[in-house]
Formats: sequence, C-alpha cells, structure tokens
Amino acid sequence: MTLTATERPMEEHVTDGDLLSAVADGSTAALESLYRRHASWLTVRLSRRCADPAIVDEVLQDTFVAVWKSAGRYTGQGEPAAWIWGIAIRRLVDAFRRTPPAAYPLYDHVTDLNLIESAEDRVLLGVEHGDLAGALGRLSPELRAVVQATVLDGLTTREAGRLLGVPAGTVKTRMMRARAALRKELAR
Amino acid sequence: MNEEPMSTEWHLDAELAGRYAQGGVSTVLASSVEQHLIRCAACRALLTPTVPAARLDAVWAEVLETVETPRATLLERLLRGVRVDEGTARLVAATPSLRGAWILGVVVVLTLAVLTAHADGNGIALFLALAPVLPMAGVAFAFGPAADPTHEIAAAAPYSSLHLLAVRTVVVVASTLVPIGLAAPFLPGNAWLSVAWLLPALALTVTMLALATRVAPHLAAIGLSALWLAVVIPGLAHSRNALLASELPVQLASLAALTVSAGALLVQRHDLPELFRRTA
Repeated sequence: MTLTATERPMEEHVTDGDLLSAVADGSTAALESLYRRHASWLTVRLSRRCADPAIVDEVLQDTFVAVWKSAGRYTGQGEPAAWIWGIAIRRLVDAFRRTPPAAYPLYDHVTDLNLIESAEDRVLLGVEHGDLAGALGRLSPELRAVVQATVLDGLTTREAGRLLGVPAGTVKTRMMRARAALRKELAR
Repeated sequence: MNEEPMSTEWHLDAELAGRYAQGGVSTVLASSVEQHLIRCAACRALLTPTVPAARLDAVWAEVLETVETPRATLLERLLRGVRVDEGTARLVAATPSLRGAWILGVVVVLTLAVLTAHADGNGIALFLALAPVLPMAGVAFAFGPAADPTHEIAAAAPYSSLHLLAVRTVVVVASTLVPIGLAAPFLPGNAWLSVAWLLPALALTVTMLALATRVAPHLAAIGLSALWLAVVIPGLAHSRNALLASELPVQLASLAALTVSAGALLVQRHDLPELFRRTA
C-alpha cells in the first residue's frame, strides 16, 4: 500500500456510501473520514454496553479494521451507520467471548428514572398503546437487557447470550418472560 | 431504507446528547436516541465533543497501523499460534528458503527422483545423492544479502545471532526434511533408505554453517555439495551400489563431520554476526 502524506480526509458533502466505496477501493483517507464521522457515537453507544474503556477502544479498532477489509460487501442498501454498528456490536460480542464480562453494568446505566416517552419508543416494539416506557422501565434489569440486546441491537439469541454473559437458553426464557410482562402491563 | 425518520421533528439537543453520552438517560430513552442516531448525521455530530479527541486519535493510529501492515503470511500466523514471539515469527517467515518457490523446487526434484527410482535402479542413487544436499542448500540461502531482503533488519535485529541462526535453521531444515521424509517411503526396496539420508543431511547442514563463519554461506554450500557428489557419484559408478549413502563408512563419516562442525560452531558462536555481514 503506497500512500502519499498529502492524502486528506474527504469533504463534508461526500456520503458515507461514497466513502465506503472508496474504502473498498483501498483509500485509507476515506477510511479516516469515515472514522472521524462515526467513531464518537460508536464509542458512546459501545460504552453503554461495556463499562471497560479499554475493551471499547479495542472493539472500535477492530470495527474499523473490519470495515477496511469488508467495505466491498456493503451493498448500498440501508444506512451505512447501521451497517457499521452491526459490525461493532458483533465485535463487542467477540471481545466478550475472549474476555467474558465479569461485572460489566451491561445495558444498565440507568440513573435517570424520569422516563421520557417518544413516538419512536412505541414504534420500536410495535406497541401503539399503553405506557411502554414505564413498562420497560419496570422490567428487571436482566429482562430489560435481553430486550435491548435482541430487539434493539438486533442480536441473535446466541450473540445476546455472549454479550450478556448468560447461556442462549437463558436469553430465550428471559425474552419470553419480558414479553409476557410487557403484554400484561400494557393490557391494563 | 432511505425513508424519512419516523418522527422527523424529533432530534437530540446538546443537553440530551451530553446526558446520553454520560449514561445518564434511561434505557428506553437511550434506545430512542440510538435508533435516531443511525439515521441522523447531524445528531451523531452532536456526540463528537463528548469523546476526547486524543482517545479517538489513539485508536485511529492503531487502525491505520493495522490496515497498512501487510497481512501476516500463513507461516507467520502459524508460528504466532504456537506462541513464537512476533519478531521471531516475522524473521522466520521472511526466510527466503521458505518461500513457495523453494518448497516447490524441493518437491519437484524429489518427485522426479522417486519416479526415476521406480524406472531405473540408479534413481535411488539420485534420491540419496540429492536428499542430503537440499536441507543444506535451504539453510545456506536462508542467510546473506544476496538471498534475503530482510538481511539488514536481521543484522540489526536485537536477537543474538545464534538465536536467529538456530530458529531459522530448524525451520528450514524441518521444512525440507518433511517433503524428503514424505518421499522416502515411496522408494522401492530397503526401508533403511528412508532414514539413510538424515545423518548426511544434518552433517552437511551443520558443516556448512561452521564454514559460513569463514566464507559466504552459498559458497560453503556449493563447495560441500560438490564434495558430497564427488564422493557419492564415483562410488556409485564404481560399485554399482545404489545404497552407498546408507553404508556404514558414509554414515560414520557423516557423524564425525556433524560432531566436529557442531563443536566448531559452538566455539565460534561469537563470530556468528559475520554470517550476516558477508557480501555475496
């Protein structure tokens, strides 16, 4: 790989999709632009799922190395940000497989219980009526973590299990219990 | 999936972005924020100030280093897998004799020798004449500026020359012995042939290394090959004994040469850096 020192990060108006195409063609400048755009929010979002900053940094690094290697596989369908997050969350699962989470406060940074409800909250779980925010908030942290990992992060049962440090079967039972609890709450 | 966000008017403000980054919002709100961030570059940008630039720069430096480093070769990754340290693994993997062309050459020569052996009794002689020379040639070409693009690095590497020499020699000899060992059982006749070439091979290799403290490795290898063939071929022609290399005098002479050379190598180990400085 030969690179001139004068290669600069790309302009603002270039889309993430364009950047991914350029990365697929081997441009490290495009990779850097992509990194500058996405590293911050990825770091924040990963930090909500892993309390150890060293692991978050490692996952962020792995993520962009993976973007570099597999940018050609981005089909142009869907948000590039969602595609990158899909890589990042799986890299986090891999990191937890190498170093099982001992006592990470996973998915449980809740310090503010004044739940704010938005239209999106309702849409997320396909629930049109009822106090979804309150219902989710009243779930036990274990059940809430399972809902978040599977429904919101789109992980498979097995991946969610690795992320949360529990067997896949436990994820399934907790998800069933969470669904039942939400249905009951929202039916009231 | 380029449709408009579900609630177009809903965006983060700096205060919410800050609280989200601090982990100070509930799971449900955080989930809304996260779903929105996927689609809204402007709100993603709000999070930029929440992560120290130095932290992101440090990770970026690592990313850049990784993507710009040539991919480790299969051999290097195998060595790393068995806990060889990174520097040694790279030096070994860069050993010229380990390149595919060399291995391929060894395989072709041996295949021809085995095929000839089945066609004609003298083929065994060809095998036994070549088999001991190949590991030595491999080791000889593992060193020296003519053959090795990492010569400068190797000469300056913070390894004792003996360490590097030992590591490379073992790997090269092993990589050559394996194809030879695989070829040997396909020879017609005496099973003893399968191992007869081992002792001469080791003797030639170690003698070459001992000589390499005085002359360029490839010259030592050429000289020893000539000597070996000069002994073996006339002997074959004279006695029509295809098993000459397996005969006791040859084996004993090999053992003697191995012992003397290994001793000489140990005595001269402080001169080993010379091995890396020889000009071809």
